[in-house]
Amino acid sequence: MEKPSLDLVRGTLDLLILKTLTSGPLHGYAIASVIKDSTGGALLVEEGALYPALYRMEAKEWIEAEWGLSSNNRRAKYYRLTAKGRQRFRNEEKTWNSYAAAVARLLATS
Amino acid sequence: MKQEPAWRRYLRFWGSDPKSDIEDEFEFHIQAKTDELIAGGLPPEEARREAVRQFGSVRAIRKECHAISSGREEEASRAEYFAGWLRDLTYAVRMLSKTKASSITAILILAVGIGANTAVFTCLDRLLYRPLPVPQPSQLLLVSSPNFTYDAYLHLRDRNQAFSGLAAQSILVAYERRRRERLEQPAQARAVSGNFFDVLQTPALIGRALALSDDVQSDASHVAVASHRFWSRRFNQAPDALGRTVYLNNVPFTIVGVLPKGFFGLSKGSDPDLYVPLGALTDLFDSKPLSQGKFMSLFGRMKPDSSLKTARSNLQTVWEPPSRGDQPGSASIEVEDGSSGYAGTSGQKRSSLMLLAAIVALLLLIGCVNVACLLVARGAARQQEIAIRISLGAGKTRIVRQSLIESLLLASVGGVAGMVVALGAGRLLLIAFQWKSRPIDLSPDWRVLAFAAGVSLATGLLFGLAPAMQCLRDGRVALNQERTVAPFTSGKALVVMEVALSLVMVAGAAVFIRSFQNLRSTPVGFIAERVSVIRLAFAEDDHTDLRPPAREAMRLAESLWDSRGLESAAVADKATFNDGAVGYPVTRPGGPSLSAFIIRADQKYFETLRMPLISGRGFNGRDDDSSPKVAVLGESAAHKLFPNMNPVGKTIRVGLRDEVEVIGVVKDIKFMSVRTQPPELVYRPLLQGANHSPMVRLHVRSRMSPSNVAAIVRDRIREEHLPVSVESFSALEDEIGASLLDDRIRMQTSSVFGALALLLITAGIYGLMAHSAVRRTREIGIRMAVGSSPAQIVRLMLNESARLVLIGVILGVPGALAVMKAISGLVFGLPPIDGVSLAVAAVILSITGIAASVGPAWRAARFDPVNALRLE
Repeated sequence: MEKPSLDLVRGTLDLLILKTLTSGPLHGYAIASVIKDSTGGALLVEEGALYPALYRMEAKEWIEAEWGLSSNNRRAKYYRLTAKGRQRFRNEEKTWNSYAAAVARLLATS
Repeated sequence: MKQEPAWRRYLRFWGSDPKSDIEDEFEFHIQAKTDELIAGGLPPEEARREAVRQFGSVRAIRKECHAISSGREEEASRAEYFAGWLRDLTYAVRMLSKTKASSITAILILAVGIGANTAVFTCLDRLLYRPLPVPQPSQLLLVSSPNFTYDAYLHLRDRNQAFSGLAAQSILVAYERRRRERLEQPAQARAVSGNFFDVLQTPALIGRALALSDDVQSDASHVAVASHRFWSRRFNQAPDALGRTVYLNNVPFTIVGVLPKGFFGLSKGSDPDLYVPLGALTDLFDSKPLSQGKFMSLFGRMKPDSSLKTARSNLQTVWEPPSRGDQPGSASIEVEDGSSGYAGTSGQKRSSLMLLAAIVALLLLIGCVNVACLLVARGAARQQEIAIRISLGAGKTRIVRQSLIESLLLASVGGVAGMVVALGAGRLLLIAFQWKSRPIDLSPDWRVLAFAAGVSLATGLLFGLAPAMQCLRDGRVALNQERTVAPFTSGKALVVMEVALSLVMVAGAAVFIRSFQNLRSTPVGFIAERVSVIRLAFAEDDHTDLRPPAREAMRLAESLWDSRGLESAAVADKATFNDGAVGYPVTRPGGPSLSAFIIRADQKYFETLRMPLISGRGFNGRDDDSSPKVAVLGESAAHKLFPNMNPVGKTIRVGLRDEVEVIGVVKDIKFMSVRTQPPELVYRPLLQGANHSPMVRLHVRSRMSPSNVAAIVRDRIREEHLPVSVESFSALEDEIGASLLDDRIRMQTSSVFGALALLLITAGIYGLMAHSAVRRTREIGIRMAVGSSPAQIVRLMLNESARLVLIGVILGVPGALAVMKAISGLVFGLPPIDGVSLAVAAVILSITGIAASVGPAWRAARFDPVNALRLE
């Protein structure tokens, strides 16, 4: 599968990050890995987009960060969803689904 | 995850450092990546290198993150803001190049609109508004009075306190002329006061300008200053032009200086080749124009602390109106702003130019609406794309901004293309207004560029508004609703607006066309068809007495009488309509007097022009200086001089001395203008009395073209060994046509632009209906599925466009009426509100509008209903 355009990933990145965090706190590397693995490698998140997005979402108080230790005892920064972030995720998810359905319908006809 | 042990949190004694936090976070990321790559089989060092490479620029990402986290977000967002603009711009370029056809159409429309406006603005600016290219033009004031004599000028110049300098220029123009010499492009000279260049603060480029000491009535005044243009044209900018001699009216003048480039004196649209001192006028012209007045215009530079008001009152106090009884008029003095000099055009041409400015502005407005239509239709096609962008988090402002950027980009490209159009259009304009030979510089300067840029920006915003709104609404609709087709009101509103504006334009054009037809069909009192006018002059320019070759012309005419193919030939001192004439006092002794034009004609003149004689006789071959002085009166001159009397046999005085007998009366003819009533005319025999007119016109009635007639005349001149030559020839009808130049300009320009407006609405309606057909595919499919015939579908579609056109026409009527009222002063033989023109315009627009939608309607009717339904 072709690598999707950067535009698309950037636009949906917030949604993707929020989604990966719904199952619990993760550090940046893990977020990228989860997105990559759960889309079968179709969506690759670049670090240059990931970290600014995380910091921006942190500034918007959708997520909060905390230093913790990773599985191999390294110091890592973990992100978790706030209540606001959870709300945000639900909205974004709904919008995305209706939009994706619309696109799918369009693509199916033409 | 495991909680970080508390002690590790105190590693940084001074609290957390966001910068190293970010660094730590990235380092962890790279480490994790490295571990993964090692697990995948890469050697550790290579794995680390690969992980760093994949991560990208740590510095840049850290900087961005740091900006976000440290609350310096405005800075980041400002950078992002500009980056956003740039991104939008590149995106706009991509979008516009993707939809090439509509982009090119839009750019062409804008180029024509902006170009036409810029060209007209350039002319207006050059001829009317631009300040003179001299230092501090705002200090210049024009002084006018019914009559300025040289003494009055000197009086004002020396007594006033408000001006730092008061200068004068003569309106008389002296031409370069030297006995026994024929010159290509003879120079024109204007006489100016010695302080002329001081007041304009324009020193000479080389040599010297005129000085007060040149302004004397002796040979010392025979010096001239050359304009830069003349210096280039005649002397190829050679420095040794100084000291050369130029002959003006046979008087030698020495060139003492050359003026800087761009200086053209005081009158827009003119550029005298030479400037000579006022004192030289006496030698240039036999009469004494200096003391006669009316031949001078005054202007001055006011003192820096003075104002127009104080200057006016000061001059009015100093001014002593000439007290002699023979100077008519109140002779009051007026002062006005002179920063832009004397206007380069006035009267009819000025109003034509203003009218043209209004027409092209209207055209640009229609063009704007049209482009908006195009963009809205395209925007609707891009609904999906916009919906995606909105769903990806693009804000409303971003969407509108994007749309506006696209519009502005189109407008800028259109503006640049418009500058190219403007250069060509400006040249056309000069041809149409017959200003080709005038030194009007059309090259764009910053004023023109600023105008074009301003117009482009304004049009961009204007036509960008509708698509931007459409974008917003479409985006909302696409997001929230599933099956509803967004209403397409903005497109329809635009078409209605376009039709309304076009109605104004087409109705205006119809008025001018009808007015011109009226002018052409107005009888002039003689039959001009098939009459050729041949202008004759002495073959060699060595006749110093300025006598016209009247006798020679009459001999020539006589020799033509029996020529095959020529019906008749006559000689007069002027042709009707374009040769001009001066009014002479004509008096019935003891009775009324009037000012009449005098035409000197031979015995065949009335016959050749088919002017019917009312009473008495015409001239014969014996009416010359040896026989009694006679005259033929035009009908209205006869009525005014001899009310209720038969003038034949009576005596009148023509001019101051000549007592002549009236021998006949002919029907009136129009002489200077088709519009006005026939003037009072008096005909005198060509060979009787002093002839002041330097011209001779041979009139030949025949079935041949003027050039063929001229060829016959040339042959005859050779056969008869006459010392005359053919200067030029034309058809008398064309002479009448030439007098209608301004009406022709208005008719042509309004028709051309009216046709352009029709073309625009054709394109606009076609585009809208094609788009509407696509939007209504589903509806049409259903209709066809339930049994509508293609004809019914066509009717359905045509109904829609007919309704829009009708609304547009109705909305356009008040505007059209207002415009008709505004232009009624320029129109001949039509009521202020011309119903016929309005009806014609309405019909033309309706037909155009419906015709434009036939194609799309037909295509809609041929949709396969099954396909049409499946599309949804």
